[in-house]
Order: sequence, then C-alpha cells, then structure tokens
Amino acid sequence: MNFHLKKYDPSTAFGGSQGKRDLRSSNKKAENPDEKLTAKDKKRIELAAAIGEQETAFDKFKVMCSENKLAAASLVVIIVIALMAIFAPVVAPYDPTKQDLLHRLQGMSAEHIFGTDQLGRDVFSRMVYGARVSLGIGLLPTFISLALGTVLGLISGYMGKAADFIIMRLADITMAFPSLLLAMVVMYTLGAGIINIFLALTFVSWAGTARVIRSQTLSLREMEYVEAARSMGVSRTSIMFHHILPNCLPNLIVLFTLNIPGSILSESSLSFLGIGAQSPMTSWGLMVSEGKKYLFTNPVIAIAPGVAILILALAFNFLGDGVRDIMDPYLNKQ
Amino acid sequence: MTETNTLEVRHLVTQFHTRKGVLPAVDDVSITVPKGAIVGIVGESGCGKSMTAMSIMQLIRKPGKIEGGEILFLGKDLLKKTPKEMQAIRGDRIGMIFQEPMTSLNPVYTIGHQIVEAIRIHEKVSREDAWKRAVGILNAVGVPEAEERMKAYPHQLSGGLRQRVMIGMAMVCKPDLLIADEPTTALDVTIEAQILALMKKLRDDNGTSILLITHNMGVVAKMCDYVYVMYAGKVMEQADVFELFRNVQHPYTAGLLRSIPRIDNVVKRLYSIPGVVPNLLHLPEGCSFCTRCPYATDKCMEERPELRDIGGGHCVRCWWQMSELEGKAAQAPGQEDGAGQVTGQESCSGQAPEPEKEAGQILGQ
Amino acid sequence: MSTGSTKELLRAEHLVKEFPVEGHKKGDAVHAVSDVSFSISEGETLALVGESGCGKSTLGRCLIRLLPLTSGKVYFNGQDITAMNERQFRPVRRQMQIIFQDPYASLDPRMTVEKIIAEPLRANKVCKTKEEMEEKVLSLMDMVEIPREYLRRYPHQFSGGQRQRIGIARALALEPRLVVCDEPVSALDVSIQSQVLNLLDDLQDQKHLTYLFISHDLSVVRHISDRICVMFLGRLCEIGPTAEIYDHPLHPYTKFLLASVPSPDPTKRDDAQPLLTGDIPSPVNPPSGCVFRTRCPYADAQCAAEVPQLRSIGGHEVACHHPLG
Repeated sequence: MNFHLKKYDPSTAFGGSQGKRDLRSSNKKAENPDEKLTAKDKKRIELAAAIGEQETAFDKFKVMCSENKLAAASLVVIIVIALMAIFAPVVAPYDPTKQDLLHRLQGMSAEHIFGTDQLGRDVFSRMVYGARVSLGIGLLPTFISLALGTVLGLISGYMGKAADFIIMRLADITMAFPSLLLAMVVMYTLGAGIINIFLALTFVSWAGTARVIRSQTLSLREMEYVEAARSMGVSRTSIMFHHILPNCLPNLIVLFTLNIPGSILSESSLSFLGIGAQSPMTSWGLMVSEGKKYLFTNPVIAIAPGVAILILALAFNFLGDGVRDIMDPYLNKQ
Repeated sequence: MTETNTLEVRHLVTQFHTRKGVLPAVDDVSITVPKGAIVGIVGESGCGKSMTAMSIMQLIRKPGKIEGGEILFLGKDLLKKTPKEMQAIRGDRIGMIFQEPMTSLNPVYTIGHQIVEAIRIHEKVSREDAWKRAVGILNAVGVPEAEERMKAYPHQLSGGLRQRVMIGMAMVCKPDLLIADEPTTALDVTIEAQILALMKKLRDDNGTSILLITHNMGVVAKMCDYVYVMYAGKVMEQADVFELFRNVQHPYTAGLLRSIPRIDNVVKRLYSIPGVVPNLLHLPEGCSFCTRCPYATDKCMEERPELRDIGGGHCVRCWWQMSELEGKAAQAPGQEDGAGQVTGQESCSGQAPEPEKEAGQILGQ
Repeated sequence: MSTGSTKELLRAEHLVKEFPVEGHKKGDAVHAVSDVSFSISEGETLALVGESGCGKSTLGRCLIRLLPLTSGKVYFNGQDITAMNERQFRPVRRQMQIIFQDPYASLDPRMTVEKIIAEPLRANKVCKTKEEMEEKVLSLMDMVEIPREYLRRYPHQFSGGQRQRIGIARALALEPRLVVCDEPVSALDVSIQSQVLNLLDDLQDQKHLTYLFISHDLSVVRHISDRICVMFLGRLCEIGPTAEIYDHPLHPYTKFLLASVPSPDPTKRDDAQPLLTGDIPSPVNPPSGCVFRTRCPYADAQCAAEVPQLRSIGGHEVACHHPLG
C-alpha cells in the first residue's frame, strides 16, 4: 500500500447522518462550528436530513388511501354506515316501528326509497336502525373472540406442552361442529337476545383465531429478537405480549376484517331462522328473513338489506387488505 | 471489436420508479468483458452491481426499467432482442450463477432432471444424450459420484455441491459468458477456494468470459483480470487488477481497501469510511461519494465528476487523484477548496484499454 | 496482549451439546459440540473460528445458557452456572450478554430504538424513574454513535451498520462483563464492518469487556482477537495466541483454513496452492477418531482409531496425532 489517507477520527464515524456536531468536514476543523459552516457543511446537513425522513402512521394511512382506492372507498362506506347507525333518529325519515297498514308492501318511491314492508313500515328507516344491530354484531363478538383466541393461541404456542395440548384439543372440538349449528345450540340453551348472540358468535369463532396465532407464535418465538429478549432476562409474559403479539398484528387485522363479515352473516342467518334479533327490534338479517315471503311480489324489501349486508362485508374485507399492507414494516423499505 | 470483446455494455441506465421518486440503480455504466477474461464488478450492497448483471440478462422486473444504453453481446445489442430471443440466449450463450444456489434449483426435481431439461430447452438432443452430457458436466465441475448425484434432490446436497451443480448447469451449453453474482458469498472459505479454482479452470479450458460480481476484495484480487468499482449506481474506478491494487486513485476504492482487515498485515486500528451509503433517492448534487469522502471540496459538492482516463486504461470518476490528494493533505489540509485543476481531462467512455493488448495480456498469463 | 497474569472469567469443562434428530431412529443426534474445554480470561478477546456447522454458535449460546447443555460444566467467575436454577442465575445472566449476527432479525421490527434499548433495563429493573431510564438510553445511544434524534425510529429506518450499533447498545445496557459476539460483522458491508469493529474495540477498552468473538472470517478474527479456538465438527482443533496460530498453525485444518482466505493483493495469487478437498462430514455420523481425518491429507490408521486430545506444543494446544512442525 503506497498511499495514506488522512488519519481517521472515530468521532466522525457517522459523518453524513449525524447531527450538526459531527458534520464538520474532516478537512476543515472550524473552531466555532455555527459560525464557520461552509456551504459544503450545510449541504451535508440537508442531505442527512433528507436521508431518513420519518413516516408517521398517518402518512402511511394517506399513502394507503391514495394508492389503494378500493380500501379508501371501503373506509368511506363503513364510516357512512357507522354514522347512519349512530345518528339513526336524525337520518331515518320515519319511525321504524310506526305501522301504516294502508300503505303496506309498496315499491320504491320518492316517499319511501326502498318501499314499505308487510306492516307498512318504511324499509329504509328500518335499515338505518338495523345497522346498529348488524354493525354491533359485526364488531363486538369479533373483537371478543379475537381477544380470547389471541391469548389462548399465544399461550398455546409459546408455552407449549400441556397448555398447548389442552387448548388445541378444545379448539379441535369447537371446529369439528358446523359453526352455525353450534351457534344454534348455544342460542337454544341461552334463549334469544342480543347478548346471547354475542356469546354464541364468540364461542364459535375463537378457535380459528387461536390456531392462526399459535402457528404464528411458533415461528416468531424462534426469531433472534426473541432470543435476545430471553438473553436479557425478559419474562415469558413480557415476551409474549411485547414481542410476539405486536408481530402478529398484521395477521390479527386480517382475521378481524375476515371475521366481521362472518359475524354479520351468522347473525343474519340466526335472525333469519328466528332465533336472533326479535321484532320489533330489527337487524338486516331479520329484514331479509321477513322480506323473503314477498320476494316475488315486492322483492326490494328483502334485496335492499341483503345488498347492504353484502356491501358492508365486502367493505371490511377490502379495508382489511389495505391496512395489512401498510402495517407490514418490511414493505416500506424500498 | 466484435471478435475480441464478448460483452460491451455502453452507458447503461436502469431506474426504479418508486412512489418516492426515481431510483437510479444503474447510472451510465459501461463495462467491457474481453474474450476469455474474468472481469470483476466490486462494491457494497446497493451499489448497483447486481442490478447491472440483472440488466444484462434483462431480468429486471417492475418497477425497474432499463432506460438507456446498449448491451452488445458478441457485437449484437441485447436490448433490441425480443423476449423470446432473449430467453434463447439466457442459459445458452450466457450462463448465470447466483449467491444462493438453493433458490435457483427447483426442490421438487432431481438434479439430473433439471440439467437435462436445461440442455433440451436449447438444443434438440435426445434424453439419453442429454443425460450423458449432464453426467459429463458434473464430472467436469468436480461433483463426486456424478451418476449417483444425478438422481439426488437439491436438498440432499451440501452448499458447496449445490454451487458446483449450479455452475455445471450454467456451463452445460458452453456459454460465451458466465455471469456469477456473489457465487461464493454463502460458502465457507475452504469451499470458496474450491469453487473459485473451479471457475478459473473452466475459463482456462473453455475460454469462457466471466463477469464476476462480488463485494470481497480478496476474491477480486485472486480472480479478476480487470476490475470495475461501483458506488451508488456508478462506476467509480476501473483498472487492470494489478494496477488497481498497486496504484489506487479513487478515494472510495482506497478507503475500501484500507478498511478490510488482513491476515498478512495486522494494523492496530482499522481505517473506516465514515458515514453510510447514501440513499439513491437523495444523491448529492455533485460526486455521489462527497458526503463520505475525507478530501471532498466545494467543487466535489457541486459538480458531478465524469469518468476520466488517467492512462493505461485506468479510469477514475473523481476531480482528483489519490496521488495529488495525498500530497495536498500533507501540505495544507483543505486550503485549496474549489481550486480545481484537473489533469488528464480526456474522457473515458468505459471501453477497456486497447482490446488487442488487453486480450493478449490476459491470454498470456 | 498477554493474558497470562489476568483473572479467569469463564471456564468450560467437557461441554457436550446434542440435538435429537427427528425422523431418525432413536438415539441418533446431531453432535453439535463434543467434549469442549477451554477458559476465557478477564479482558481478553477469545475468537471461536470454524466453518458453518462446526458448532461455534451453539457453543456460544450454551455458554450463556440460551441453550441447555447435554452435559458439562460452565464456571463463570468461579460459580458453576450450569447447576443454578433460574432465580439464582438471574443476577449472573446480566453479566453475560450476546450480540447477534443478523441485525435485521435481532431487533423487533415493531419496537422503537428507545424501547429496544430500554428493554433490558426494564426487565432487570435497573432504573427507578422514567427520566433516569431515558437518560440512560440516550447515553447508550451516544456510546454507539446513534444520533439522539433517532430515539423514536423503528429498526427498518436504519442501515445494517446502524442496526448492529443498536444491538450493541442493547447488549451493553446491563453493563455485562462477558459479551458473546456471534458473527457481529459478517452481515455488514466492508466499509461498515470496520466501523463496527473499531467500535467494539473502543468499547472493550472503555468498559473492560471480555469478548467471545464467534466468526468464520479469519481476517476479522486476526484483527480483533487475542487468542483463537479453531473448531471443526463440534471439536476443538487448536487453541492458542492469535499471532502464534496464524504464523505457526500446528493443526492441518488450521493450515488449510488460513490458506483458503483470498488475500486482497493480486500479486499474492497462488493458483497452485493446495486446496482442502471434500465437504464437511455430517454431524449426525461424525467420522470415528479424529473428525477431520476424512479431509486430512496426513490421516492414517491411528487417526481413525483414536480421538486426539488437546496437548500443549510450543505455546499452544492442538488436538492432532500428527501436528505440523
């Protein structure tokens, strides 16, 4: 080697990307850095700032909305339906329980957008109120079953041994029955009613979540950062909830959005079978059930809530896909 | 020109169009691979060396796109070929080996099946003849018990054997050019030495040109005839291997060479290039290396240097040369910022030195 | 460099680690580490070198109880840590930390730098107040030269070298005495590699650390280590001071290993150099006697019959029936 570079100063090892402190060029050691910043140094600072600009969750969200139009549209649909449900008394043009037997089974018109049902009640108003039950059923049992399934899946996957065996056999048993049948059994035992629908739906859907989270946990617990946590003496509970759970998040979001339409549809089926929501309270599923008798004479009263269920279920699915994409920390590398 | 150079890449530009902007992965790269030569592209991760190889093979996927330049292979421009013609060239006239052989071998077929298929895609031969040739090539690349190994699945072989099989597959049609992208990075040193010796032997026996892509200066020194040093998508320095290691002229190459710990020369403290490789989306206005260069002047910050020939086919993309910089640094550090006096202004468009001379030199070794 | 007078920090005696193999008949096992004994002195850097699959990473993890040993004893600071239960081991664990090879896999992608570095502090209840914790995290970031303003960033926003620095800060947060460095620079670029090596060097001086440096890169090892253990297929081949081993290797394997390293100097090309033939034998069925004999040009009947024991020759120990002289 017949060349010599200038003596290397370790304090500038980070050169380009450190703070002002270390950005002085190694050629010129200015005494007062602020005073004697050359154009070159300023440029270095600018460049350093540009290299690692930080992306907030909101930025990512904006990116999702601009790139994934379907997810953005789905979000709008869900928000509109949610607002409708919340402000139902304001939105609904009529009282959903007010009967008008003179104008029963009317088709679509300016006064009644989706017509009236067999008791002359305004279908649109009933749908607005029914959104409360359908959306609630979609969100709440899904959330509870997801939480339950996640905890059991984490324990099963991380602890292994006896805990794993017991939890997984329970999951096998629940999954061995058709879920609707199981929900019906629960409903018949507990009786009809909103709370019982919640319980029945939770009971049938925790097992799937537990399985997915368990398999995810099995692979995550072999990761080096989990090993690192163990080497530092981090407790098992802490590893499960601070390392493994957050890394299951993309999966959880997918499960969540996939289970919501499932719950909505299950509630619809239960209501359709007459063991779900009870009149005069209504849900979209119940409306389809009640409207089916008039499918040939006045189809709109069954089709309108049916299409609403479809749209809501699809919207959650599309949104789930979009959110999962932006949740992936590796995806934003390039 | 066409007879002496297997590959001539001229002013190749490959860009990636991401949502954050245009990423110049390969920026005006010109590379010449003379017949029968081993030419190295060396650089750190993200410098564009693999992208150059992928561009030559036209395996760039969206959002990447080759935006300009010429890739002359045996005198014909590959960029003007149709995808179908390109497919016929790949694996036949140009072989390629990758860093991780497991990813390029199909796990559900036997080694033999895959080599036979590789032959039969490009040549109309019977299965039996192809099988015989496959056994022959495995013997040639030093796979013991070749007949037996033909029936093995990729996962049943060790890493070194898999890489030998990959080289065998790449060489089976006797290509004119072999592109090896980090062929030994995943291997242990003793196996690496075997694979490198094998590649050299294949070059000597068949006259195949090799474009060797690596980050390992030791491998370059051991294998290559001519070297291109890349940084941030550009060629920073290019020279004959002996010239480069004896008379390094770019501050980046110099820093790189000084920062490797060596078995034969122990130093108390390693030199290290400060900072990190710049983001290709936010490259400096001037020289790409100016943010990390200990000699950077105002001129370096503002104006982009071109690759220029400083004699004997040694080209440097720098406003200065190490020999000048050292003298200056010793006298008065940083006193002459911007007072650029550039010698050897003659531009260097990336052709290797006189083809005849180069080829002669190499064959003479 | 001489470590003879300093105190012994860790001693390993007859370590054995076997992994059961699934799908094979009962009793079959991967012999990852077989009968390994050595010691590390306070303040030195002992390098563990060998090719992939030689058991060096497993050995490193067994020493700090990240993996349970099949048999053998590890003494840390005079105490037998293999005999301790979890509660007794807790205070010892703080004194032995590990830096991982892959800076991409060893940092939790969903934690900020702050959380990553604070984790060991939190788990061991080192800091009493939030302010104290933050101050400590910031000083650790200064130590590894990660700018303070990156406190709330996520690992994927850093380059490989910066991530490795974060990993180092995390490992040193508990002020350990022994740090196992498991290939800490092999995933890094050349120019970044030397930055991290220099940092490790500086930290060792400042904090009087003892390193067990696991690596397959013989150039890096030559630079950083005081003593070297060469491993092959779970067994120690040779152990001794770095310069001794590099200048006068006694074990044939060490000699071939050193000769295989390509020198970054084209004038030192040697196409005629003898190469080690063949592959590493399977650790499930290691050869009888000396495990290296199937690749060794000097092997004879004695090598097949007897397992060579480590014996002292000219300042270092070597396990070979026919040491080079």
